[in-house]
Amino acid sequence: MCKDCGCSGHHHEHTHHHHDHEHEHHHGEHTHVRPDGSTYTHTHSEAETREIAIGTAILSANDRIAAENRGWFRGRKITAYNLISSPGSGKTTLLVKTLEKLASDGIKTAVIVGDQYGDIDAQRMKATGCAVTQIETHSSCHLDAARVQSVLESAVPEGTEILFIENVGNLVCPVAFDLGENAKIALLSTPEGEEKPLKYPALFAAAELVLITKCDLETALDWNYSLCLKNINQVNGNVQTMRISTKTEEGFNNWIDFLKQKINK
Amino acid sequence: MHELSIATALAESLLDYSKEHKVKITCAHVKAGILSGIDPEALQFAWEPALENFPDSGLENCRLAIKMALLKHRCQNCGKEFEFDTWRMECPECGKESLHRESGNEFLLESIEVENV
Repeated sequence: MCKDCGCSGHHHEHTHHHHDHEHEHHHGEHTHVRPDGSTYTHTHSEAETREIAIGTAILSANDRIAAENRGWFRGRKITAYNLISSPGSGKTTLLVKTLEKLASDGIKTAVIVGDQYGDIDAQRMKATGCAVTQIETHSSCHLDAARVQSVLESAVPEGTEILFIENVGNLVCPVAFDLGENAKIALLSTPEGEEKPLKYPALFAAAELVLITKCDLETALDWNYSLCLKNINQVNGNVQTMRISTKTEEGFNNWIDFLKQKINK
Repeated sequence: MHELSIATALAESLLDYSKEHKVKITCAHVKAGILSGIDPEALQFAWEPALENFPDSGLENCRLAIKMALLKHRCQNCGKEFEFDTWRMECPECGKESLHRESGNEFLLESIEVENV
């Protein structure tokens, strides 16, 4: 609040943006025009502090690029998924099998995979013949929209129908960064326990689909499926869940059907 | 530790603002939802190192005030609205497990405190 003219900081910004009055704001002597057309000149003191309302998303720079990516996908009729989970929950193993299956059904896919170092995951997936691009994030624990955008042209061949973005293995950080995907898919493997959705709720709250992986270990781990579902639904009542095992192929057809139904024709 | 990336993104946007509007920003007030994945302590911890990337920018002494936002819920059975510090399903009003969470992922720069330069 300006003690002299009574303008709130917010009002200053508002009038500044809309240019509805002459106001060399913040710099010594300046002039206001009153609604009746008369003018009023005064000086703000130097050390005056005022509060200005902003109300923008802190990651708006990332969100803007994510929106560009989203438009890029839409223009090419690509359905893009952001796969997020802990390290070791089976993202790459799931993808290898998924890419093989989709390729045998004549569906064109591409993968962008983020890891802190190396290209082991990319090599595994390239063996399927799919277009796979590795991003090494080094010190960073997540992919962001700009990193993804920088490789899109080279990573996603003409005619791609589904793009999988395998995020850095991390249950927390990647959630905050929109990449422009159509949906976030969370993987939760049975060895991680039933309570992860309650301990790390952000991912499960943001996901459209939770894949419960390594279901073949259910008996060995005394893992409680209904408890796990209850925990997921506590943080997200609208999420779809699927049991899956790449080993026994339990639930695999459901997963492939899910992907096929979402292809943008 | 994505809070360092976030703190850096916040500092960049503050810097743009202070240049455009020719003000010195002395404090940034941010609000994070409980499900935004932001750890307030980690973000506070990352703030000073993030500012070190911007020497002589006028932001050196800018404070960061972080507020965690409550979760808004609305009952899909009785229509009542509630705010809790955690997610819930059971409606305290009608007892049905019909609460729908309506916020929690937000992460906003709410306001800034500025001085003239």
